[in-house]
Amino acid sequence: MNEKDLFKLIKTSLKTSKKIDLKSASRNIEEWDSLGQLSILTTLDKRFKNKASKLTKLATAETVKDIVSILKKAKLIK
Amino acid sequence: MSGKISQIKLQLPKNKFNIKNLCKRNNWNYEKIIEKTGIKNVYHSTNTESALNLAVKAGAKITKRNKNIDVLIYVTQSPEYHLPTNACIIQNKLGLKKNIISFDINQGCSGFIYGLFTAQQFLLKKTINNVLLICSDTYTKNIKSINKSCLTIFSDAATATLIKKNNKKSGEYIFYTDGSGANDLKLNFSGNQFQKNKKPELFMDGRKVLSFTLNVVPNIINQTLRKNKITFKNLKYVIFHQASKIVIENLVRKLNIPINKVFINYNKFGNTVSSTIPICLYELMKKNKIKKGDQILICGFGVGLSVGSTIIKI
Repeated sequence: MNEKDLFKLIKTSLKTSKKIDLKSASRNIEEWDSLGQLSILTTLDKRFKNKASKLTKLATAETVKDIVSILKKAKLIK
Repeated sequence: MSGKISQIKLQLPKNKFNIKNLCKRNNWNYEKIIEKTGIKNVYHSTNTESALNLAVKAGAKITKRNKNIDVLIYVTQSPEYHLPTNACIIQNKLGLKKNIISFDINQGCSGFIYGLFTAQQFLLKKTINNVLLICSDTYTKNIKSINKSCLTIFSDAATATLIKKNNKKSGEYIFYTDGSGANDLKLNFSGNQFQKNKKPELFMDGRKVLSFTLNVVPNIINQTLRKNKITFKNLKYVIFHQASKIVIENLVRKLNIPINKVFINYNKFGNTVSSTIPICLYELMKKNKIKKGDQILICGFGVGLSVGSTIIKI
């Protein structure tokens, strides 16, 4: 999976019409509230076959940039 | 020798709240909330209903016919007082004998498992035959009206469980504690953190609690199965703490549990903290969905953060 695929995944899990990119964050996406964050967490966990829930920092990552950084560090995305 | 659950009774508060109406009143998106929580109704204790008097009412449903209780265990995080021990007040109100062991356990969502484990240890003693385990909480008394994540999940209730001595071996237990997550679900401004002019207020970081649950609980469940030398196939039901739909659905997915084995009722009662597991057992017993010899995995998890899990045999 690359960054572009990840943006699509986050967009689907948040059910938002807004474009998702590296600048997207909970502060500028209305749908990214606490429930939205739970959706992102569980969608990533499903997509990465239970590996994402082991990355505890993901729970509080409130920007796409942070999510990308955590997933890259864990070698889950390119 | 060990103990067996003989009876379970339930006491709900008078006020039943429909989440749809709650969302309407607060202009919250009901569809979005229900999709994640699955909770349609919650129960809120009134000003005249405390965890203690709900506990007494639940307990009385058992003790009106059986006053021969040797140990009274009260699991609560909504104590009437920090002192005296709340279980002592319950002993008196239920008119139980005085040569009885009575104490409180301060645990939340894993509290029923803690209580059951403790009861089983007492029942190993020759002189102890009956343990009354009461779980009761009224978290909703300390939720601010704007706290959407807590208000749409938590619910008040009390349950009383009678555990009687039998000659079968009890299931093996697995426990897990991670106090580094203590701040993720807590009652601010309570106990010695009390501040003048500030009411105790429930706080939950749902993201961190979910992350902990998905990370830790599947391992605990697998350890419970291994230690009890059993598989999902041999279990009649799996009962998780009824946290919310998103939590249970993801645990089922991660553990690959056949869905017909998982009993849920969070939609009807909400998250009643330490009472969720006994309420599930109460419903299964009431609806005759379980019979003698059935084995059930029960797992409580949450505030602490803590987890407890075991297998019970009906």
